[in-house]
Amino acid sequence: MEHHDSITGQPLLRSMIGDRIWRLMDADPARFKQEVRTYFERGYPGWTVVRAKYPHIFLRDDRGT
Amino acid sequence: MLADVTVFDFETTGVNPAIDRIIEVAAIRCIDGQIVSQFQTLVKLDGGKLSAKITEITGITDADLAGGMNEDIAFKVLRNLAKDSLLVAHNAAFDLSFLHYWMQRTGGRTFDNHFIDTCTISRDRHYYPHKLTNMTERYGIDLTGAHRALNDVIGCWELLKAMHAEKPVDEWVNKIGYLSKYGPPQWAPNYAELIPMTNRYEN
Repeated sequence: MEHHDSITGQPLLRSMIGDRIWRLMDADPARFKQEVRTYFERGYPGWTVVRAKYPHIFLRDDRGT
Repeated sequence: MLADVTVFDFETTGVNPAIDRIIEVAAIRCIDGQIVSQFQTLVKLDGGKLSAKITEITGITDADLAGGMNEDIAFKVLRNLAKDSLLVAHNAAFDLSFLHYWMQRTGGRTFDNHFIDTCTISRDRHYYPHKLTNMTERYGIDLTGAHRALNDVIGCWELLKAMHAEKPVDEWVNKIGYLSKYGPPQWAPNYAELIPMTNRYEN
């Protein structure tokens, strides 16, 4: 199943995170969101986390906006 | 020819596919000229630390990899994305060999996809140098953030399209050019045609 941005129709970037962060999803959802954001801000600045569905994190390319 | 293509790139801990590891994977699937799927992930490096040289080249740090995905899951996603499409990479001998050794480690198999190496086409058509940054510049393609895998695959895809528009690349399927002075690559698919080449220099 492909995933696209609902506004632009562009395919979202599927990326992944390690098990340590995934485990926070149920244990501490707020910290999970923060850890995911921090992880991608460092590794892929300009991309916005759109949603998380194991094993994928979906990101939108906002570098040009 | 380019109806169903997967452009992919690995960042690795070194140049030996038998012992070095993949630390970043990126791939885009392109059908009928459109990017329909894109995938990137950092891969956790079990039991090792990145050398300062690799961090310098890629910008990837141990802290980045600490949050990365396990190798086997990342591999399954890549295979599911690529399926039986035409594989494309710049200096494909490098990436294909890492893909082969990766498959060997994770299941004792290899792949049989057809492939194109944009670096081989570059050596045939152009003067030295042939790095991806050189070639994208030559074709007027904007390549931001080179040596991060996702940026490199998008640059390689644009390069492939530009080369194909210049002259169809059909004849380059399953061909790997290598520099005669260095000899053939350590590993290549058994259906690959290995072509000795020499760099040509502009006066």
